[in-house]
Amino acid sequence: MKIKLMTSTSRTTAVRRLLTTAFVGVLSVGAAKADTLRVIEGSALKIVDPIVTTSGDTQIHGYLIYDKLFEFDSSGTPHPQMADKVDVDSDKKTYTITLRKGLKFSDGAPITTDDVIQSLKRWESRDVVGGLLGSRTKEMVKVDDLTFRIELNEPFDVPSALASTEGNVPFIMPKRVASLPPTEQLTDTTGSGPYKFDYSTWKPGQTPVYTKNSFYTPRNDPPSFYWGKKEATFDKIEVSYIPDPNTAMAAMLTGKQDIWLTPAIDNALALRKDPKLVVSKGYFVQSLFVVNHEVPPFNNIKATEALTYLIDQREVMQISVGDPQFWHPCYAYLTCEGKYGDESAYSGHRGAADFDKAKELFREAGYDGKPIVIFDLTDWAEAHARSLYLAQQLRKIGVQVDLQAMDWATVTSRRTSKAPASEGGWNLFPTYMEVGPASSPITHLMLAANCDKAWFGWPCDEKLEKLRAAFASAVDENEKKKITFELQARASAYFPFVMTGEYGVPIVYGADIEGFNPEAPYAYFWNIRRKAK
Amino acid sequence: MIRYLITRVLSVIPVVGVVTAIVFGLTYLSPGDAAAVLAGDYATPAQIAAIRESLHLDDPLVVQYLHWLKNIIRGNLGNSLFSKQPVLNLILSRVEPTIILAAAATVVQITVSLPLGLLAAQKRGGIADRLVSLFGVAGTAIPPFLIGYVLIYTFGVYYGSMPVSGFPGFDSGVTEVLRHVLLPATMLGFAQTALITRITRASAIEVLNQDFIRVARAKGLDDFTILVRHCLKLIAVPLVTVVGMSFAGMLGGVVITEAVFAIPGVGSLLVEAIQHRDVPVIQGVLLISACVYVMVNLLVDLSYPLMDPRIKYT
Repeated sequence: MKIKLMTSTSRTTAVRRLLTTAFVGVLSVGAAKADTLRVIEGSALKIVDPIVTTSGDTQIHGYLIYDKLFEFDSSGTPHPQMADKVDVDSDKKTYTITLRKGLKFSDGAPITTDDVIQSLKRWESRDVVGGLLGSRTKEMVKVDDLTFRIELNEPFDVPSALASTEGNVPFIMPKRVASLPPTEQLTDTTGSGPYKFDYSTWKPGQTPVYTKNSFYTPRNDPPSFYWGKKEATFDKIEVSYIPDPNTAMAAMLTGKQDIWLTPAIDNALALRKDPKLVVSKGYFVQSLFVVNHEVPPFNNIKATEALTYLIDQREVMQISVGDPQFWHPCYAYLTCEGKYGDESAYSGHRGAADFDKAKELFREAGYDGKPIVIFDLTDWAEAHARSLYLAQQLRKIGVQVDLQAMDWATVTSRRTSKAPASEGGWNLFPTYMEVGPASSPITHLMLAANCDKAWFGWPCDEKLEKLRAAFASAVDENEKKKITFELQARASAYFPFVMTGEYGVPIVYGADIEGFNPEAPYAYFWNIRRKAK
Repeated sequence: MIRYLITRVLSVIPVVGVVTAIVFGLTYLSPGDAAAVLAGDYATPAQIAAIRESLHLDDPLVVQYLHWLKNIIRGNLGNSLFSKQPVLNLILSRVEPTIILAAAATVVQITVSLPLGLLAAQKRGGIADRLVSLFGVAGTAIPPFLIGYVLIYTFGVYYGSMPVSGFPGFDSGVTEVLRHVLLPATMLGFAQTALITRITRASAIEVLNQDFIRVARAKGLDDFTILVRHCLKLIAVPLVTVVGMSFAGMLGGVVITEAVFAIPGVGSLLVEAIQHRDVPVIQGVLLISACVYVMVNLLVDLSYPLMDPRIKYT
């Protein structure tokens, strides 16, 4: 009789088999990938109307199912996308735009200028850039089914506005959909883009599934950033939301998901060791503190300037982000990533903290010893670290700090108060601006210094406003650069907000994915392919 | 019995009334502005004010409460501020994964805890009893999410054979649903399993010390028959109470489990609604959860006479 002894290895194998059989058993079925792209989003899609909200998940949804008249290439130059050509008169006040022939919506209906004009009107009623275009538009008239004309009161860079990738994006929808009031959410998701989405079979919370739009006709130009050929390369795209980062990590490690759009930096770094995954820096954001200019002590510029002497951007970024590959200090109000950003325009304090100078400035500002209220965002680790840092720096110079812990949704309510900090108001809170909108004086929320009409914090500076208006009217690129330099120089004397550096929001994707651009402010999924094994 | 039944059903009405007041009051008192969240960062104060007005968020508290109550009585829980869909539809669309998860977790609880509890009682003081007691303490002490991560790592990442997230729905087939539910149900059932094991053990020990069990043993009945035929019947009442309450609690949304395994159930709906201050959804989920809890509690009460003939409702 032969007795087969079990070695350690065979025992381990046996135990593994037993465990797998016992627990997994017959339920184990290999996950079929087919040609579906699976993406993990940072939040669940709730609103399918990109004009009703600026939420990132909704805009990503918008880029999948809609197209635009113009798109930016990788150099930031706008090109016709759905448009075939644009004729501009010499005084830059009349733009005649002709659509490409044969464009159709996802229901097969032809796209005409009626649809385009109505879509742009709805967008103008909601978006910052759109509102600016609307206020300068004398009339927008149909010439024929494929041609329309925009007549302006004063010069304006219309192609750049219509290629906007920020805020509410000017997507083209059918006229019947775009006729809805801008506050009423659409339920008809007939689109003009490379993919289509069936709203009638979808419930919020379910994973949105996008399928190829067979009526979409892409351009033939080679793709560059958002512009050019938009080819629907996957039959299906699923954009799911996995709230727990550890589960999302597991899904990426096991190849059950292809792209993870918003991992925390710690999770992204942990995945960097896996050769099957690529960890990209993603798009950059300008990290900053919003300052309440309405209430003491920051209604005095000297107090705001004092903050710049307390903040060492390298320290802040090291504490809040960590790995230096993902951040850099930056003293350009229009960002170090954008084409108008210029650090040489900045005349304020840079580098290590200078506590004596900060203390002196607070004294000159007449600081009365009352606590400074800082919102501490407990549901946003990076911002939480920045609040703790600034509170500590202020305490070091003897300033009283009231650090108020809350989630972002509470901030959206509390930040509207103009009451003194001691009466439920606030002084400072951390946030960021994506470098896309932060690179333009028109779309940078916190650079608008039009007092009561400005963003929360309500900076009020006539010189900044004049420069922003001049930029909006400028069409020549050299003129724009000159204006933005002056604007950034002025900002470094007025301090509409306080910069704390720039960092990349990482994106993780499978090494078998090619053609994906992780640096787009809103991710897009056309022209992506799975490498052949 | 019928009189008791009517009394109990009627007693649910004031309970639900109190629940509506608490649910409404809590959501009203919580900070945050749904209009501001909905409008986004680029909205002007005027746009936010317009949204707030259109949603009646500026109305006095009492007016808002009475308006809400009137609609509830008509079966209308309102519409989500964000998706604009009826709250009831939203909840119903999320109920399937939650019910399946709760049912699967209950099966896990019962199939694991009953044998373990009875074994520990039967072998009282022995190694098996000590191991089961250790399991009972550990199961209560270890956070469920940790169990979830261990399961995900072991069966999702290491063996790579189980899905780690999502819920496919029955369109994908029963097998696919079971594959997605097995790990979360195990995580969800773990803590309750430990508790039910301890209750089973304690109740069984009490019963096994009674005279009629000694008589049964003296008559020559084997241990298995004594446990199943005599002991189990007597410990059924406390067990059904605990299992019933646990099941009802899970139906209200298993927030952590659904978050860890990305299951789009009622718990996830509630968390998303809280994050966005979607007040009608928060109120709807809390109200229905509370009502379900009350109703399951009532059913558990009514089931007692079926298990123990000594209990009679008059």
